[in-house]
Amino acid sequence: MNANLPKSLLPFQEVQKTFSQAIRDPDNHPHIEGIEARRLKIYSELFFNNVEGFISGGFPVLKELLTCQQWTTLVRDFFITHSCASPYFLKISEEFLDYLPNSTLDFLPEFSYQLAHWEWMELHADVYQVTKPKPAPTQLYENQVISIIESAWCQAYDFPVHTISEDNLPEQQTSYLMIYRNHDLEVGFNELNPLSAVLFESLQNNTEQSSEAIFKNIAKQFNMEEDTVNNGGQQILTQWLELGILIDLN
Amino acid sequence: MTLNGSGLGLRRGMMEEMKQLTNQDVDFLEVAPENWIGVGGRLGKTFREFTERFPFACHGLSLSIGSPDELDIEFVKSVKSFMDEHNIDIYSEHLSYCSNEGHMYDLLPIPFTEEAANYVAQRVKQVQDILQRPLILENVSTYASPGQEMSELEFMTHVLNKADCKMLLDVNNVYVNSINHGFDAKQYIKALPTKRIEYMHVAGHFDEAEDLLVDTHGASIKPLVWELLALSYAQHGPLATLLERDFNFPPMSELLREINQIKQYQQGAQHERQLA
Repeated sequence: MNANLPKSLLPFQEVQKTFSQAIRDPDNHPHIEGIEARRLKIYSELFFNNVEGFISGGFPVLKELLTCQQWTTLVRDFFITHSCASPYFLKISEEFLDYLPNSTLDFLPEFSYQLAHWEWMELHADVYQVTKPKPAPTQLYENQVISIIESAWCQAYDFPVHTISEDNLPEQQTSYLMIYRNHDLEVGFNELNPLSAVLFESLQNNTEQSSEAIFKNIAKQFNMEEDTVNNGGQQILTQWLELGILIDLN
Repeated sequence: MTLNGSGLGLRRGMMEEMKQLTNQDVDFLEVAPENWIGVGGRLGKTFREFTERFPFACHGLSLSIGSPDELDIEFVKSVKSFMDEHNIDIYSEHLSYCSNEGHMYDLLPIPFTEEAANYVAQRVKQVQDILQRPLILENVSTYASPGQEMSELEFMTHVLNKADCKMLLDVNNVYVNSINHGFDAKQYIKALPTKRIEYMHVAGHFDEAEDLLVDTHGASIKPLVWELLALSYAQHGPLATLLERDFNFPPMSELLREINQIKQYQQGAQHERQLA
């Protein structure tokens, strides 16, 4: 679809346009000639409740932080102003994420987008379709070549988004969060420290280096003692092996 | 492959209970491809276990065949791959639209005009060319008739003939619309072209007012709808029929009672045909 070109509509499409507008934005389009108000209302309520159901299912924490009125205003604004490209229902959350940074509503907390992104990651991790499944290592050993499971992501947020609730509004503070779906298809998350975040990234991109070589590189890159990185790195790998998020490239 | 017997819609909210179902309980299951395309993880795994055990029909929601927005060719191709992957031959959709400058995720009433019918028919052909399978169009429930210039029956028949496609006869929707728009449901059903009808749907609805019913799929089937189902079988044959239930899930035993009732109606119609 080329959104830049004005499209000439057929007469029945003009009818469709008027009807759709009235459903998206009933406050500004309360009447359509020849259509009973209660019938139009059935449509606008069915449509709104359907979309609201998907958004509140995807973003329960964001919803909890807003008043009912604010939440309704937010979902209605999304429905009116955002053109959803995806035909997939599970992607409505992603459409909402695309909308949030463009929202002009002034009551949204400054961390809204980051919180919503974190909430979306949980759904994303649960349903993500792995393209190249790889086996898990059964144990760790020397000169092993390992990487991270495809369904694991590490993200830096400007707020500790994983701790936010109605009773716990965050101060700005960089948080490295890893969310994963392990070999047993369970979803979980972990807060990472700077070393584990760097290790995560190195392993994610790894195709042929042994863990020892990766530790060495990190020590060099960040000007750290090799022993410190080695010991710390081994501990992290042991933990990740137990979580079931490593893959064997040997 | 054609569908036979009676089926049930696979819903996430009922998946755990549905794992207990056998091929004796239901003959086939139905899913919206939009809910399962590209889904991995535990949901994707469970879905595959179902498709390996039961015949499936795809019942789409987002094709938006009557939309002013361009047909989403990539999406239609994804539906085809999905059907190929899971060995599904049946794809039905709604004679409706669900997008206008973007998706709206529910079903809107197409203005019943000849121009709209031709427009839809041309898009149906496009879809059938990509899918390499017939498209099966369902009559949808509507609560308003914007821009109407012909009857629903005329519109439906025009599209079916012009596009040379199939129909999914939703018996509950005929009933709902007959009340909402004041037409004779029996006449509607009798006038449909038998050779176009591929399978049927039944469901419950909600009485919003005496003259306004809402197709909620959240209640048991009403007696008058059972009557129309029997009439549909007598007129068009005991075709495969799916029970739709989307929320207010009752215990599985209650749904199976409705499914058994469908089977009894089918057997009754079969018996009548043999006698005739």
